Amino acid sequence: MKDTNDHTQARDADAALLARYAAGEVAAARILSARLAPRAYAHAYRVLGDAAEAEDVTQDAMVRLWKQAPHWDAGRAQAATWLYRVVANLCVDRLRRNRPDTLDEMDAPADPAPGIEMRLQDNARHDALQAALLRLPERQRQAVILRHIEGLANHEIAEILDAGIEAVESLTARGKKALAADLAAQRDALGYDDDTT
Amino acid sequence: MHWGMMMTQPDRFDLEAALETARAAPPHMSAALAARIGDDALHYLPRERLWRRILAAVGGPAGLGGLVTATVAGFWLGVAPPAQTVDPLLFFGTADAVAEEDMTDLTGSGWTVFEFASEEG
Repeated sequence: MKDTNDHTQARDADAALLARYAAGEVAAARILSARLAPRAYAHAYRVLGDAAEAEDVTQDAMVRLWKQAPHWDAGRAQAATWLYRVVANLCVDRLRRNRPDTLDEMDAPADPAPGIEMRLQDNARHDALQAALLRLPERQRQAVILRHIEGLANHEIAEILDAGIEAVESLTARGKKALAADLAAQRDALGYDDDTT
Repeated sequence: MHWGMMMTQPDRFDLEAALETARAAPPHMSAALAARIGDDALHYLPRERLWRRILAAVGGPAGLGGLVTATVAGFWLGVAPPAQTVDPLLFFGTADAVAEEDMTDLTGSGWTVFEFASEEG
């Protein structure tokens, strides 16, 4: 019940800010940007693994939000959920556009290229997770990031990915399992034993 | 391997720790991106439409209503003036339509419009 109330309050707050922006209030734009843009960027970066592309996606998504503001329906989804959906779709577009460059990397989870292996050794656990995330299939990657890193509820993820709740549960479970297997396969390279003992 | 079994193994700790690290340290967007988003927000900030500005200039809906009423009334008076009203054009176009004494009052000089017209002729 608390989650529902929080969700409703957040939705109403976002709708009120969008209405203020639509009425020409610059301060509302600042608040909306501070609330939403960092989350959009974080998701885009984790899905794409590239800062420049994540910046382009974030800017594009925010422009769409500004354009949508005058027509915003207060009863519709929370603005954050709407924005996540836009970001998710823009990321899919970019991943498909860049597919020839990323296919090899995504198809070789158990035997990463030498460059990736070097990077895993050099970087921290966070980067290892990021690399493993990038090896997941796109839908599983988005679901795992939204559920286990962004902390969204399954019904919100279902709305973002345009899928059913059961499909989301399946995507997150399979994604997390694949992620665990991938990281376990590279434990020695990551030095996890050193961290945990 | 059953997922439930896997969750009890050390691998789980590794993943959960990595996820926790990721949650605690989200990637931060650059100041340049924040500035670009701010510029876009200003660029797409809805402006008040022209007709709304005009409406505000005439005093809002009430002012506009008065303006329309006055316009319609004036137009109607021009098309169909009341029967007892003297046509103002008669003062300028037709001298004999007005009595001499009336025009004396109007000129204030003691001359009549008729005398003035005769001197010119």
